[in-house]
Amino acid sequence: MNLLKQPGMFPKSLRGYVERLWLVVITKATADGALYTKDWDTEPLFPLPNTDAFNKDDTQLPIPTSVMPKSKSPSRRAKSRWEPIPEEKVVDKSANISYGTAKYDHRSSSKNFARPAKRQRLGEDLNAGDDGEISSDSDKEQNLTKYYSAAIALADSPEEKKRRENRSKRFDKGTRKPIVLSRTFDESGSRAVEDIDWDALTVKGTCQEIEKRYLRLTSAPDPATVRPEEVLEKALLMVQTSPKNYLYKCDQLKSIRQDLTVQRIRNELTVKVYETHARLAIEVGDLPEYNQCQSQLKTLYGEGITGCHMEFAAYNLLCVMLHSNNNRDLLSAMSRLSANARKDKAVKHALSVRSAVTSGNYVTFFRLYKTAPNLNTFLMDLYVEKMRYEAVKCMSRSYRPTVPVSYLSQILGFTNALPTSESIDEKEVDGVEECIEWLKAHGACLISDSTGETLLDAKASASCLYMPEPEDAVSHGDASLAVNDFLTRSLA
Amino acid sequence: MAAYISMGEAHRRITEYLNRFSDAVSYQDGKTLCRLVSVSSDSAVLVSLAEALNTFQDANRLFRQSEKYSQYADILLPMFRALQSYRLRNLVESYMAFEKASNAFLQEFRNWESAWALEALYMIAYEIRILAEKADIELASIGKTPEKLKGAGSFLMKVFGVLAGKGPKRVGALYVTCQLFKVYFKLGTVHLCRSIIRSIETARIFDFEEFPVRDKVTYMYYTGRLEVYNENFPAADHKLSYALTHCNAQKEANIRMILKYLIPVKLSIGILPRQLLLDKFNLMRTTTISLSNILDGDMDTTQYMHYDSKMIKSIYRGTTKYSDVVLALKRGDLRLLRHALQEHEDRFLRSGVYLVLEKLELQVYQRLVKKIYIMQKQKDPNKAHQIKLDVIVKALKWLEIDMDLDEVECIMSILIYRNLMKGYFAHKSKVVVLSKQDPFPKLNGKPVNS
Repeated sequence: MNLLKQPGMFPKSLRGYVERLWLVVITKATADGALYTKDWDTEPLFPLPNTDAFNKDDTQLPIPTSVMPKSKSPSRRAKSRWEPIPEEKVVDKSANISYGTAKYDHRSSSKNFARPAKRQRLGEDLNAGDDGEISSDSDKEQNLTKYYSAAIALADSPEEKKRRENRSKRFDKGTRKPIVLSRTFDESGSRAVEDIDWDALTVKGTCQEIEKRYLRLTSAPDPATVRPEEVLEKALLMVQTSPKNYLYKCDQLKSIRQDLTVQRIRNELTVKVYETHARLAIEVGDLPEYNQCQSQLKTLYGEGITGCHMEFAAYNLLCVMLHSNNNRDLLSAMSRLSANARKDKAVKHALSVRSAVTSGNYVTFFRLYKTAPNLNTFLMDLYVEKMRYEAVKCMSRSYRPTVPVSYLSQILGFTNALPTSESIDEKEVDGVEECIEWLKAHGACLISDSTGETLLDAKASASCLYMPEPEDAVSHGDASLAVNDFLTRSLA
Repeated sequence: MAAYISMGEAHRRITEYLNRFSDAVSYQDGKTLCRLVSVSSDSAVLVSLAEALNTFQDANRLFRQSEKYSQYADILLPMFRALQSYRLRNLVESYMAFEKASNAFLQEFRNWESAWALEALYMIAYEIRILAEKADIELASIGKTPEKLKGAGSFLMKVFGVLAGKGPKRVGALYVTCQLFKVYFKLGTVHLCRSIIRSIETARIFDFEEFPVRDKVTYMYYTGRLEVYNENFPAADHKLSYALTHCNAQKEANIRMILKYLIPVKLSIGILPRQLLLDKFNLMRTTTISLSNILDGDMDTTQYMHYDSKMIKSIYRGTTKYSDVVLALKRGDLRLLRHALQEHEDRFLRSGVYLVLEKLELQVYQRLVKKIYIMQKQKDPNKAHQIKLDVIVKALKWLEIDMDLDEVECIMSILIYRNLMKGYFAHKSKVVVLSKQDPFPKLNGKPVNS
């Protein structure tokens, strides 16, 4: 005990290590309710860390896990389709875990940063959003040694000392944050930028590059590679005005997001970045990316940061409705809308869409489609096919003898304008043509009357309608997202 | 304020509790045991024990002194801690200690033959849920993740596992199931109910009829609610009706809760509440009739309120928000339905019946068109079966509902498609042509065709 009283006798980094150990023990004991009742005199010690090379069959620190929160059943967050292709990544060899693509092999890099096991999480789940899931694979990662040795490397910087102070203060107030570098692991290696806990690694950036590719960081970033807020604002503006394609913008935005996260910047700029990314994602139909951004936004709005709450509340409602057949989720999303939200134009629109879909009211649905605010149309797009099919089924059973295709084309959203004059608009003709194509593709029976007008034969169609198999089925199931397509066009 | 008690008195109280506990076990007195473990109750016994424990700090010693007590140390030491923490309002501490005590209790319970201790086990199951809920509130208030209720759920699953066997203890499984339902409903993780439901309903060791009535009612209530969420109305009707029929007539809070879900279900299958209540409450005919009048939308309630019936008042309070809905259905008044939905929007959303009630719109439209048909029939029976779209649009405008021809045509089309109207729509002439036979089929216990 006297040893500790002699300052300067031991390396500062060792002090840091001891302090961390102390925090581990205290936190665990408090969680157990055993802080004052445990017999500390006889409590077994932790095994000391060794600095040997990474050893797969490691001994782990015997931290009992009876108070660890039970892991949820691992559900993989859908991998965003827009992850940069692995070969293109420029890997910083000095501080990087090579995850590989399918499994991860930790022996491949000499300075390995093993991820601490799930067991070492000292406190509660700190999900910023609900997408972070714990994979049971993280149990295989048990090398606390490497964690501490890397952490010790940081222990000397003045920022780190300050952070340590803050950490113990935080602990005093009873809020606990796990001192881990990463919390979640998705087997295929795609995690949100935000999942890594940057608490231990906050830096202040100095980089001035407006354009910067996304390199997933897994360890302490070099401040020279991180951009400060002013530069990030310019970077966002650049992305917003760039004519390049989604892959490019997505990559740039992820890089901006990472720089923001690393510097713990959570303000209006952060919100703008996520909103921008979310909107782009909606436009191209990248729903996993949209969901990531949406959950970050939920948290940020919840912290009181201003942004386009209503616009995104509307998107959220449309997504919940369109993507889950679960009434509970829908009811929950609806009841969470504040009275103010329900008065907002975009939210009201989303609520009306919801109502139209639930009741099968195709006329209202397509009218709402034409007058959708913001990007609501894109989300409604996901339901258009089903609505049209249900509508034609409905009309085939209830109309006799026929329905003019021009009418169908108008109420099912194929034509944009209501026919007001006798002269037929070119666009309108196109719409009708498209409608005819669509009807044929779904088995409808069409006939011509004496004036040459095309009609739907309701009775005959009733027994012939079917939903066709999606053409160009791609492995990820969505033809509009074929990557090759993407690389060859650029979105204005 | 804790009264001052002497060491001697404290010692005496603790020893008395220990004696009662061990005697209860020895004599297989489940009732007494039950009362001794109800930590969150404010029973005199436990309050005085808590006071004693605060004074006499070293209860540990007492256990070591006598073998009679030491065998229960694993259960009672944490139980004491739970009790003390509870009274000091350290709810998280209390929960964690109680969880330890419960696990130890469960171990002992396994060894006891026969089902004598079931009542005590029920109390443990109940208490762990209640304490977990309170602990989670405390956690949330200091900004941490509430996870104790989830833990309580895990413990209850363990209890279920212990009871799911061939012996007499298995009749306790339904009670534990119901506690689990309450946990999952509270957590919003209702999908987890599926596996226990499967165990109860398909396992050969369980015979549903063997379970106590009280538990069967609760079980049917929750599974009925799940059917409502999934919009399986015939199944929901069956289960919730069972719950209502077998529910103790004195438990008006429970009756209210069942009706809260049963009424929308009945409406969805075309049955108005009057019949529902007459079936159940045929004992007090006059009060039943007045109640069903209320539910049927007779707005003059003053004449009913002087009935000094707690039951009537209670049920009335719980179900008035449906009376507008019922009235709208009877009248074909779409405006009234929408108004009712809006007025009670929050409550309907929270209880989960909003979507069910919203779907009643189609029935309201049906009623409206039927009224038009009846009026036309009176004027000219031969032409009654053809209704011009214009006329329907006008009728809606009269109800202050502004819909254009296309929208109304769409609704008519849906009504025919869903078999609420028999006939067809002639687009060119914009006329609904109704079948001459039974143009407005009744639902008769089946939900609207989807």
